[in-house]
Amino acid sequence: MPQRMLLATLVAVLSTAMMTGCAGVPETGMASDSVFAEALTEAREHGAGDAQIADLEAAVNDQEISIEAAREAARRTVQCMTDAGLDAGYVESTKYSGLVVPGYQVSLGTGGPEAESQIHACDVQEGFWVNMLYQTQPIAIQAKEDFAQQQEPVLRACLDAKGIDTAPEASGVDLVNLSLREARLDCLAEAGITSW
Amino acid sequence: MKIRTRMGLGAGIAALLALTGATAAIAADSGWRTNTASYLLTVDGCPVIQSGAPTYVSGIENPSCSGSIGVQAMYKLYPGSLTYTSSIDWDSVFARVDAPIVTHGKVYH
Repeated sequence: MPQRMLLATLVAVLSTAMMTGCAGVPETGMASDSVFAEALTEAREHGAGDAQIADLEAAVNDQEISIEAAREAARRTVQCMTDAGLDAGYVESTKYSGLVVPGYQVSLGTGGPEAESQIHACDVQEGFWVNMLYQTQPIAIQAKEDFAQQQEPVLRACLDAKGIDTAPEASGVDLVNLSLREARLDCLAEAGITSW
Repeated sequence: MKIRTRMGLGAGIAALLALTGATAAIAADSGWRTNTASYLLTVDGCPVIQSGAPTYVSGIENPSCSGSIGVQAMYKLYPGSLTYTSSIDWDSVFARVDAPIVTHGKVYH
């Protein structure tokens, strides 16, 4: 099956899957303060380490995870893996929105499932919730929405070329959502939007 | 970690599942899955699709779910190289990790 057809089908599957319902808060979403507080609660329940908990407590107060905190969390994660005998390194990548994302790469070596388990343990202890919040917090979403707005002409031209009607007043974000509804991930890709 | 309203999508799962060959499963989390197929999974109560190609793995969630989606890749730098694991890439609805040769993917929700 050609890739675009597969992607279109996958999106359609998910569109359909919503009919089965899912757990959690429905579409109305949640306030950003709840997002930070919920992450802190989850982190405490799942064994996050003291340093990560401190970062999350600060985030609840500040309503933001700084890049410095995200970098430190990634470096702690790498150190944890290194201490466990794994060959790990700190890396950074940049999303299309311009968001710089601290992270790691780690070799499994010959460790197999034990190495996988250790990698997960270090991630959970040192950075999992900090990393998630950093990439999904309001300022990160704003950055990608700003990019979507910049790409509004590209999105509109692509959707129009595919025969999909676009409302004249539709914003870039509206056109991203329309692209998702219409399974036109190729239009998102053309606009440089590789995640959402 | 959903903080913005999302737009709902539309409808016909059995036929589409047959089309994609996606395997339905219920799991607390996706676990590592080979990157040579597409999977319809339930992660943390949310339907998600994990799919990929040789140079990336992606995850897309049911837009009606709350929460974010995270994707992690297991990959090789070149054929026969050591296997590496990436950190997790998070986003609101779909996320993707690119790497030279992605062998396995894991989806978080």
